[in-house]
Amino acid sequence: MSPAEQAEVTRSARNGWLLSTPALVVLTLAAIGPLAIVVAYSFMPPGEYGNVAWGFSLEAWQGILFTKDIFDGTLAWADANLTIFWRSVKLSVLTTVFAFLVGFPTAWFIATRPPNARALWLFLITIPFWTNLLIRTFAITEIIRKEGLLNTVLLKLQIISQPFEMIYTDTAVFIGMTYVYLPLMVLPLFASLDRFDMRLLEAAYDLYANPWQVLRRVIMPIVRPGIIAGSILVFVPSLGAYVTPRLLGGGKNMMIGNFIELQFGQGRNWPLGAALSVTLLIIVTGALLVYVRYANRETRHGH
Amino acid sequence: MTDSIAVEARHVVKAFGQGETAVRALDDVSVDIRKGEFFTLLGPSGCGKTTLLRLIAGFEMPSAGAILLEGADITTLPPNKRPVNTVFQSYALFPHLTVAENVGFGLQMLGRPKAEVAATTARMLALVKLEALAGRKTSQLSGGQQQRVALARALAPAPKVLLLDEPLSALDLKLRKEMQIELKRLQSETGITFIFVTHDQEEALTMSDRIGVMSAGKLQQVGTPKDIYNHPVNRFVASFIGESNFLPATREGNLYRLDCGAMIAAPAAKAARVTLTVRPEQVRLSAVVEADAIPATITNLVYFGTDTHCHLALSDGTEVVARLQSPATGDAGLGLGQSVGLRFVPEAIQVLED
Repeated sequence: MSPAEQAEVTRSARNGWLLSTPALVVLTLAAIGPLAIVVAYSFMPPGEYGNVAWGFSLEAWQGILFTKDIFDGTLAWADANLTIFWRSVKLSVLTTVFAFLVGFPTAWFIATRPPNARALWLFLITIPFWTNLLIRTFAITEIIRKEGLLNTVLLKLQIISQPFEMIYTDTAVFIGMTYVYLPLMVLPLFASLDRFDMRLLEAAYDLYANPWQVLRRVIMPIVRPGIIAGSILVFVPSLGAYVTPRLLGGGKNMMIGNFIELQFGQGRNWPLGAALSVTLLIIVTGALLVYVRYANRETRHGH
Repeated sequence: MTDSIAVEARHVVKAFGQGETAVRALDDVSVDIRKGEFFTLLGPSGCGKTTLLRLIAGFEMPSAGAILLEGADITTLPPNKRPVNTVFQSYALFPHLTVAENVGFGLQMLGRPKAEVAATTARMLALVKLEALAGRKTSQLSGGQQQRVALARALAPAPKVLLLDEPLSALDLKLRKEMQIELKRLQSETGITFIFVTHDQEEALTMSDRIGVMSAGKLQQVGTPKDIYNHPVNRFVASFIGESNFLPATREGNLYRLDCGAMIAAPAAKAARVTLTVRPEQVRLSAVVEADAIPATITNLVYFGTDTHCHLALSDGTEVVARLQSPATGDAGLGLGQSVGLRFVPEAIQVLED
């Protein structure tokens, strides 16, 4: 290689870095920077008035799983925290599964419409995004509260004799989250199903597969990338959900998001809040790793 | 006699759409397809040949009529309950499965034991000479290889009838010729009834035991390739299979008078006004116009290599094409505008009454 050529290579490499500078700056400022601050805070003692004090402390990390007795300083399992973690994971998994069960037929329906009708159906799916999440959640409150629409109608129709209490329960949170995150499941599923070659259905039927086998052995494996994407898009925000559990779960049925908010607000324990945030991040990453690995193994073996 | 029938279509009608706008893709089609034969449905696109195939496969239900498989009515059975397999025009191989898994799919769905699935898959891959590619994904195969996988997949469950929907149309000419021979070999080795759909008349003539020529939702003629080529029943069949000359004529006693005035002997017909048809290779030319020959003028000469097409005009303007074998050296001594005498090989003249 001649010196001139070498200089050219060096220059183009330098130009490459220069061109990606804006992206790198944004990434540093918007993603890596704040995360570093949160991680740093989790290793500091809490300050007097919220805030953090300078120094090093593992108290916050200890506080995630254990509570220290005020009098004798012995450690005990923090049952309340564990309940919140468990509820968060349980509701998120349920939401993801249920969003799939509802979302798959919906996406299938849209993907099998004529091309010009598909655009309309997709448009209808995205309409909820036009309104603020808070307002939509209040609307659900209005429907499922004790004197709300659902109870009133069911009572009038004499289907039930007593109004049932659904609001401020885990069920209410689950319904609310399924409603809010359903489009995030439908859209990637639709993208996969839209590319699915419908002629494969005939091939499978022709080769003696019954409808259930066609679904399990042909459709699901082929649209698996869409299922994985949809599940991630629903599971991740569900786990960190804040507004929905706050409004529909009342004050007592907290999820991790509410618990974190509590630490930064009334709790005045920023380090604990930061440690909880990092924990949430770890749970999400861990869950995704396990899920994607499992899903890939399924794909490789095919059955 | 019914023992030897594999598939029988009885007065099958298939209409798409409703009421006034309904289109009859199949209009009262009845045909018997014999066991172990290579039967071809031939016709231009939109003639209903693929629709008939899809009815036999079970992807569509007929609007009227019945489909019988070895004497049993299967008209309303879904595709997965019919012992019939299809090779699709698009192949429709499963992209998430390997070649071997594709071939074994049908047997697996039938719940056959693993050992049997593996053994049959290996046998089928050997049959189509793809043993070496058993572990490949189908996306890594060439068009011809995908074609073979599709064939092996459809043959693996040992269907009573194999349906082939224009399976060679996506292949280039050389590969297509190879696959034609390959298909014939597979058919004679397996003894399975093949129903083959194509719009390529040459493909139909070279491969089939019998051909069903279709047009506008109706079966025009069913017969051996020789039958259909030499004795077309109507103008459509005569023009769709190979090339033909059509000469309007009027019957006068036992002879026919062409519009140019020449008298010709041909088989008897009922109608007074008929069309005589002759294949271009059955037209003879002579440079000297003898008394019994029909006078004509050469309007065009087209060289095709093995033969030369000589376009002629009769005295009334009727066009006739003669196919002449190209001589080994020089030219045939014919030139544009030259007057020649033409004769038809007498037994090659067909009378069409439509």
